[in-house]
Amino acid sequence: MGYYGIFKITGRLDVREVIQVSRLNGFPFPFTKDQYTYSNNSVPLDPAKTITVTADYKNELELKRKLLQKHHHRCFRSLPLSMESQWEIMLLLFNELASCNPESFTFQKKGDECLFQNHLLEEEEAFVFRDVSTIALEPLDLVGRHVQEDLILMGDRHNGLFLEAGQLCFPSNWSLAFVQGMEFKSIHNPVPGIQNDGFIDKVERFISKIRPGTVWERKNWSITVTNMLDTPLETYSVWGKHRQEVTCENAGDLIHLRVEVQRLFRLPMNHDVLFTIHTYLLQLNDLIQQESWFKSFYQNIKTLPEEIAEYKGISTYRTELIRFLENHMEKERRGQ
Amino acid sequence: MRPILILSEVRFKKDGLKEKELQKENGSSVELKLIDSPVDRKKIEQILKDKPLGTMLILYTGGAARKRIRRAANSAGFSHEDVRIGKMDTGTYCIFCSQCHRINRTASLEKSIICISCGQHLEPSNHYSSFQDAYLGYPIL
Repeated sequence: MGYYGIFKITGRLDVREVIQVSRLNGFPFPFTKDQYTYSNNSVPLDPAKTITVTADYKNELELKRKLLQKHHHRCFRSLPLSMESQWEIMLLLFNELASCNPESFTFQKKGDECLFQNHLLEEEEAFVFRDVSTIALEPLDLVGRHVQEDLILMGDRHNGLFLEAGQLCFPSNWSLAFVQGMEFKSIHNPVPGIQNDGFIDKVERFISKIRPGTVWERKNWSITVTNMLDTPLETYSVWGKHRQEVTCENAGDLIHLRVEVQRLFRLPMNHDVLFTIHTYLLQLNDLIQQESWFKSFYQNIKTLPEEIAEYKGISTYRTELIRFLENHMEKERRGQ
Repeated sequence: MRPILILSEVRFKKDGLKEKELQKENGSSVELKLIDSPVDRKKIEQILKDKPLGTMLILYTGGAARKRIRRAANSAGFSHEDVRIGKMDTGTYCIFCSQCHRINRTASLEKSIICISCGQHLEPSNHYSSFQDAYLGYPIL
């Protein structure tokens, strides 16, 4: 829900309060325990939705399309063998957009003739299913321009999962160009402790056993300094330097909790796996307004193992962040 | 023991022979075939066609040849894990520039390099892509 909606209903909140309420309401807070734990925290979703349309739809789509226009080679990659699954994904997502948000999208299919209408952007896509001559972009690249999520296609081959196509505009410090064509397990090699106790094998087994038509969701968190959604490895020199700028005075403004709502869906026709990533950012100043979230966030940051803090890029300013949180705690205690 | 087929470009013959000896000592039935570069896919398909089920393929070739052989092997029914890359004494490692995607060559993974294309200072990592046949180079600020 956008903040205008809330403003109309209450009529009494000032604008800053209204914006805060809205951001907190829709934010997928990731911590369920007051201590950092390493787990495959996936849950099945009912109904089985792979995407979500939020109030930020138009802004995020505008940014996404700008990035695709300017850095297409960085933001979209595909292998030729991914085409069939790309078509299946396009159909699936257009269908889902229309059935879950009928006021904003419509989709009609008569035989192989398809028409998708995006009423929010006042656009339409007419195409013939599986006929590449009727679309100007590859199917995944086209449908990705109508959803907020980054879209990754994992080909399920008999000897593992392979990244065979992706449209990735809002990555958290990784490169689609590098991981294209790689096996699921190799992609995750840099994650500390991922090989311990066969953890990554278990995760791969879990994914390979997801049944067609079902969706599993997990939340993955990290921290972004500034409010940039697009933080690919390719532009690390631009956004990475801000990590040095965090102090215990400005942490509330600069630091944003970044949550990726990741969903896994088995494609019923081609049996490959669609992996969607919806990225949300919440400024620390907003987060600390919610007492339970603040406490949980503080405990998780405090108990984060050093190698994970390093991997998530938090080590540089962890001391400043903790000091900011403790100062806030002290102020609250004094009732200031 | 799985039968083993070693495909080696002539320039890596020494490494291929070493591998053959090593596998023989381990008791495997092993065959070494020297191939010319650039690799002729049809010839490779011919070689692979009659190999017994479960044969392991070990490659001593450059990156371009490796891709072609992998494709031919996959078409011939070899799985990803049936194809292994031999450790060659090429004296060089390929580093994928995370900023501009250029693949650089270096003699060591221990030392930082400057990307020849974009000039970014890179730290080689041990994150390896068999698809790119290169290690990821992280930017140093």
